[in-house]
Formats: sequence, C-alpha cells, structure tokens
Amino acid sequence: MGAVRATDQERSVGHGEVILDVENLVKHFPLRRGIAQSLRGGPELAVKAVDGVSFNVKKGELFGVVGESGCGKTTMGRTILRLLEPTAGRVTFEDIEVTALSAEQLKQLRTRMQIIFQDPYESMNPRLDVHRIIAEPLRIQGMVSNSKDAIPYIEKALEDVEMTPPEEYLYRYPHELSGGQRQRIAVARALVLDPEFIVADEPVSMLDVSIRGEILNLMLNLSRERGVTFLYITHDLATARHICDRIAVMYLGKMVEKGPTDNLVKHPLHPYTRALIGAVFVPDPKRKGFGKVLKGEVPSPVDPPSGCRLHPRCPIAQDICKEVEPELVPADDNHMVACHFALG
Amino acid sequence: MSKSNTQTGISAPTFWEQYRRKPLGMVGLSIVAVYVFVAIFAPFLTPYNPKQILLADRIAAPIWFRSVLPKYDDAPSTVRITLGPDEWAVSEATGGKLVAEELEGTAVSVIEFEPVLKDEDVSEGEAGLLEIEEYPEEPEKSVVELSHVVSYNCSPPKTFGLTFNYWVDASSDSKTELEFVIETPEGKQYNLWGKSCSGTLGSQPARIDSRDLTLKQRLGLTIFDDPAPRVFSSKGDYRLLLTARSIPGEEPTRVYISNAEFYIPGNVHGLLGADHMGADLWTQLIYGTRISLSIGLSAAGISVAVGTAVGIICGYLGGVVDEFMMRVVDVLMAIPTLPILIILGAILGKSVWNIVLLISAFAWMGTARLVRSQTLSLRERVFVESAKASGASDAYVMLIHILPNVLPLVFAGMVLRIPAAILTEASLSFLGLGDPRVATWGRMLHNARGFGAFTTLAWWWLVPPGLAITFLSLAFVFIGNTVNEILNPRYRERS
Repeated sequence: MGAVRATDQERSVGHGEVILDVENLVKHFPLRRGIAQSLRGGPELAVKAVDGVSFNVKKGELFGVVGESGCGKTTMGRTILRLLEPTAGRVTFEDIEVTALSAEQLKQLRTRMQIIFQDPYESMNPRLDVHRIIAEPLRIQGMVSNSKDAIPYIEKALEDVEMTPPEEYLYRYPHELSGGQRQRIAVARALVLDPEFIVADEPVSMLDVSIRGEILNLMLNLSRERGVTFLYITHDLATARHICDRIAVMYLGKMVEKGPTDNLVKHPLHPYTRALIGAVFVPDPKRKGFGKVLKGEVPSPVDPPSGCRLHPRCPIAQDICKEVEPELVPADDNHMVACHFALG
Repeated sequence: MSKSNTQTGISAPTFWEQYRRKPLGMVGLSIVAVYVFVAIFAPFLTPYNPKQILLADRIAAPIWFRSVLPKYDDAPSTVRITLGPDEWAVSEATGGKLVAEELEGTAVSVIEFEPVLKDEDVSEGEAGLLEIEEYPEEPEKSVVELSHVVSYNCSPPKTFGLTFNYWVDASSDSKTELEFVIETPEGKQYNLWGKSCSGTLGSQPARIDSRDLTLKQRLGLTIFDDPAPRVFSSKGDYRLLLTARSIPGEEPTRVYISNAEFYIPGNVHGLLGADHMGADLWTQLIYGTRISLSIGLSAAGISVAVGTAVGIICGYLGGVVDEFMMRVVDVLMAIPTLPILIILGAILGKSVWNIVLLISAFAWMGTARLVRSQTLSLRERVFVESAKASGASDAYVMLIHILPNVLPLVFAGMVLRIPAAILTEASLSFLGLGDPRVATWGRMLHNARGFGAFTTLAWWWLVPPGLAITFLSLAFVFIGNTVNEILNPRYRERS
C-alpha cells in the first residue's frame, strides 16, 4: 500500500503531541476452506476488514472514525488495542510499539489504553455486581488485593460518570440497571485504571436518543477536563460532529477522507463523505427526503472492487477509478482525501 | 435479553423459592433425604454389620412372615447359644468336677478328674483308704456329664450344629473319652459325636454338624436322611449333654472345653431374611445405601468436574488442543461403555474406587461437549473481551467469566448423572465385577441370581434392592429435571 504517512503533515497542527500512531494497519480474517477447495489451490480467501489504514491521534483529542456497518471500523479499534492480532502494520502508543509487545508488556499497557463497548447489555457478566465489574480491571492488574481496597477507586470512577451516590449502585447487578446506567458503569470501568487513551466503540448506538447526549457529554467532559484521548468509533456522523475534534471516514477497510470536523462536514471532498452527510436526517419540514444516497449495496470485503473501492456506487466514477486506487493525499493543511477527482 | 437465558444470574434464595413450587422436585428431594438419612444412620438401623454371616439358615425368610403366612407359623428362628462354664450344669460327676478357668480372656470349662491312687500313696493317704478297700480289678471310669437345657418350640429345623475346641492335659497312662448327646423331650438320646484319646491331646476343633456324613452313619441313617428334623421333631426342652469319661492316670486329668457354640439356623430372620451365607439382607440393603450414594455422588462429581474442565479448556483455547480432545471424546463415546467397563473392571481389580474411577472415566464426554459448546458462545461475549482488554489471562477468563456461566447447565447435568452412575455400578456388581467385600445393591442382586433366589422365588431378596435402585434413580431424575427447568429454561418444553 502506498499510503501516505500522515504523521508529518498533521503533527504540526491541532493539539500537538501524537499519542497514537497507526501505520498501514491491516487485519484480514482468513475464510475457512474445505479440503476440496484447498486441494484445488487458488488464492487464500480472507475478509479484508481493515486493509491498510494510517492515521494518528493527538493527546487529549477526540478522534472520530465514521463509516457504515461492516466497513471495518470496529475491527480497527480492536486491532489497535490488540484484542485482535493485526495481519500487518504498526501501532505505536507514545513510544511503545503496541504491535511488538509481549503478553506481559501488553498487560501493563492495558492500564493506559481502555475500551468502551457498544452494547452495555453484553459487555458485563450478568453474574457479577457493579462493584465486581468495576473492580475487575484493578484486580487483574493487581492494583488492589481485596474488594475492600477497591472501594475508593470504584467510588471515584462512579462519581466521574456522575452516578451518585456511588454506594447506591455498588452492589446492584447489571439487570437491575437501565441502559444508560449500564453504559455509565462501562465508562466507569474503563476509567477506573485512569487510562490516557480510550477506544469508544459505538458507545451510544444501543442507547435511547434521550440518553445519548448524556454519555457523549460525559466523554466530552472527560476529554476536556482530564485530558483523556478518545478514539470514537461510530456510524453516526451527527454524534461524531457533535463531539469530535477530527473525523476520519472509512469505507470497506480503507480510510477515504479525514480532517478537522468542521472542515470535513462543511466541505466534504470525497463522494462517500458527501453521501454520508446527505444521509443525516435533518429535522426540517421543508426539506424533502434525504440528500444524495449511494446506489447499491456495500460490496463484499472478501473481494473488494478493483481501483477505487467506491467506484461501483460512485456518482462521479470514471474509467480511471476502476483501475487505479486513489491514495490519501492532502487537500489542504490537515484535510486529506483519497479520490481522483476531489482536488478538482 | 432473550439470548442470555442460561446466563441470567439466579441467587440461591430465588432458586429455592422456585424449586419449592415444583411437586416432583420436592418428591425427589424427600426421597433422597430418606436415603441420606438411612445412609448416615445405618449402624443404628440394624443390629448386625454387613459382614456377619451364619445369622440364619440360607435364604431365610423375613421374620414377620410368621404372623402373615400360615406356612411360616412356627418357623424356627435362629438359636445360638454360647456354652461357657456358667451355662453348663453338671448333671453327673464321679471322680471329677467342673472348674471354670480363664485363658487369654475367655472362659474355658475344665473337667478335672482326680488322679488314681497308687499303692504307695494309699499307705500315706488316709482319705483314700476306703476306696482302696473297694478297688476293683478293672479301673472304673470317672464320669462328668455337662448338660444344658434348650427349649425348642418351633417346627423342625433343617440343620443344627455344635462347635467347640477341646484339649486334654493328662499323664500318658490315662484314657479319656468325650461324647455329645442330645436328649429329646421324650427322653430319646441321639449320640452325635464321640472322641477318645490317651494321655495328652493338643487343641482340637469339634465340629458337629447335622449334615455331616459320619454323623448320619453314627445315627444309623442313610446319607439322604436328614438328622435335624428327626432330632428336633417335637417341641419342648431338649438337653444337650457333653460327657467326659476318664480312666485317670497318675496325675490329674484335665479336659478343656472352650468356645462351645450351639446353633440351630432359623428359617426366618430379621426384617428381610438372610442370604445364602446367612447374612442379614436388611443390613445389606441399608449399608448398600451408603455405597450406592457415595459411588453415585463421587462418580458424578468426578465425571462432571473432568467434563467441565475439558469442555472449558477446549472451547476457550480451541486449536489443536480442542481438535485432539474432541476426537478423544468421539472415540470414547463410540466405545460401548458397559463391555469396556467389564473388561477394565476385570483387569484393574474389584474395588469400589476402581469402579468409581471407571464410571467417571466413561461418563465425562457428554458434559465436555455440552460445556464446550456453551464456552464457544461465551468466549465471544463482549464481557470476555472486556476482561481481556483489562489484561485478563486465559485462566482468569475461564475461571471468573466462563465457569460461573456454565455451572447451571453443569449442575443439572450432574444431578442427572448420579442415577446413571448408580445404575452402572449396580450393573457391574450384578455381573460380579463389584467389590466382593462391600455390600451394594448390585451385589445383592448378583448373589440373589447366583444362589437361588430366583429358583426359590425368594422375592424378599430380589425385590428390595431393585426397588431401592429404582426409587433412588427416580428421585435424582426428578430433582435433575426440576433443576434444569429452573436454571436452564430453554429445556422447559422438553420435560
């Protein structure tokens, strides 16, 4: 992949110091083949969930990754934390090369990198109470030896997520809590180790709209007040726009555009980004339907289209798009786009 | 939250609250409670221990048959009398007497005959003067006759017997004779046993048994005759007579008789009769509860523990380990269990723990598969990933996140595995591969089959162990199904 190293152009702007640097990250899931298929030979088939992604996140930043479901954004988030082993590429967290760490070193790093999962109903063991759920990272990391020692940490984490008084929730079970409360518990659990970096994997998509704002504001506050860096993964451009400093747009395992939120939303350069923005529901009775919606379905990530991956669906596709894969190139200072026709 | 049916936490009080409302479950629980009670208090529920034999005649009927069946109206129950110096009455004593002595803690009856007075002695001994005047040409025998009265008020028994040890301490010029006679209430005497010796005789066992050939000949009967019904043909007081005659020598003659035991085996005995060895069947049944329960529980426990461990490890780690273990499971499942258990049981030897291990070795595969499949879905759950994101090791995830979530499934399975283990043990014992030293229900059935309970229709021997196995298994099945219904609601429609 001839991906451009984004680091140099972007380091000079924004918040400053780079905390996470992802370089040409690839994650393929090989497909199981039957014996007959293996004997017949032919290429190894794999789901190319993440296919060469490079970007960086700066300290204290809220970095959004937006894309349709199945575009590989969740896989990317998990591969960055090495919950999935990358097929290729490099992830560097501060000075530590995450992709090269041993299991023991990785365990230490986990105190600094955490994740919030999408489904608050699934991300907690139903047999554990709130106290044990939040204390679990502390116990795994050996930071507390018994459950009594963990209580100050837990209470602080619960206060951070505005669940007060903490004692009221300490011994409840997940099924006794509402969805919003559960997601707060999930955030508290991620916070209890006091990490610098949190991957938030669609943290609000399973929640009622009324609760989404609370969780998003919670993340925003944590970012602004405590300097926690977030990688916010979402399919919902609207929420990303609400809180993110920068946004990257993914399509079929590739990054197609990234840039500062305002810039990207107001002047989208890639046809896919434009389509995404067009699909956002605008509560305006005068407006009819949605904006331009892409035709067709997302192609299979096992066998992505040649050239530009969007070309079968793209309204402005030309012949070159079928053959040459566009690279992510800077459009202006810190806005980058991968399209043959974006720059005019 | 439909997908987490089996994973919903259920606390112990809630579980009990639900369990209480299931009638079958409660019936099962009460039956098991009775069995457990019997197992714990076995020694208090029977006066015998399961190893005692010769408590009654072979295949004796239950004692309560007397009051139920006319045929058994006056069936004899066991008479067993130990005859020591205190029990023997001296009914005749010439030139001798009965002395009680204690040897190595047991009372021994000693018949002591005075020595013969020689000529030289006579001149010195004043007391003997009178006797010398009447001194006969032939030395007169001194006689001591010991007797004991046995009242016998039943129909004639099949056999009877007397055993004792005796030895004689005398000078070499003496002669001693011993004789055992039974005198009927009508005064008829049956001379059953006799023995004579000169001088000293070392310890000898005397085994008088009515089935003995020499005894029959002594009574002038053919080998097909049965002495017992003739001797004990009527009801009344019988006298057992043990007579010692002696021609004393220079020194006192002493005849020692120890451990004399007179025995008429009963045709009726205890609550459930007796087996072919005269062992108490009620005792075997009660002690069998202990063995069956402990074999059932331990075999089920071991197999479920192994199955759970294998299932979790295979399901969670996957890969080569998983593939290999699952093929092992396939192979073990394909082997027909009972034949292989018979072979291995024969090779490894008959002990209860061997049987437990064998049963467990061939019973863990089902659990392993079940747990593995559950683990395969659990390991993909987000809370497992969440723990990993905090740095949890594989062992931590398996213990804290997988195990508690498979336990309900496993627990119900374990309860259902107990009756399977009990039945397997019973089958093995029934085939004669059980521990011969231990009374189990299967062993009772084995003996019943092998020693004539079927041909004599001794249903009191056959039916109780069969029923005991049936009810205990049924009880565990009730409990298992109820537990399954509560903990694993997905199976609800099946029951």
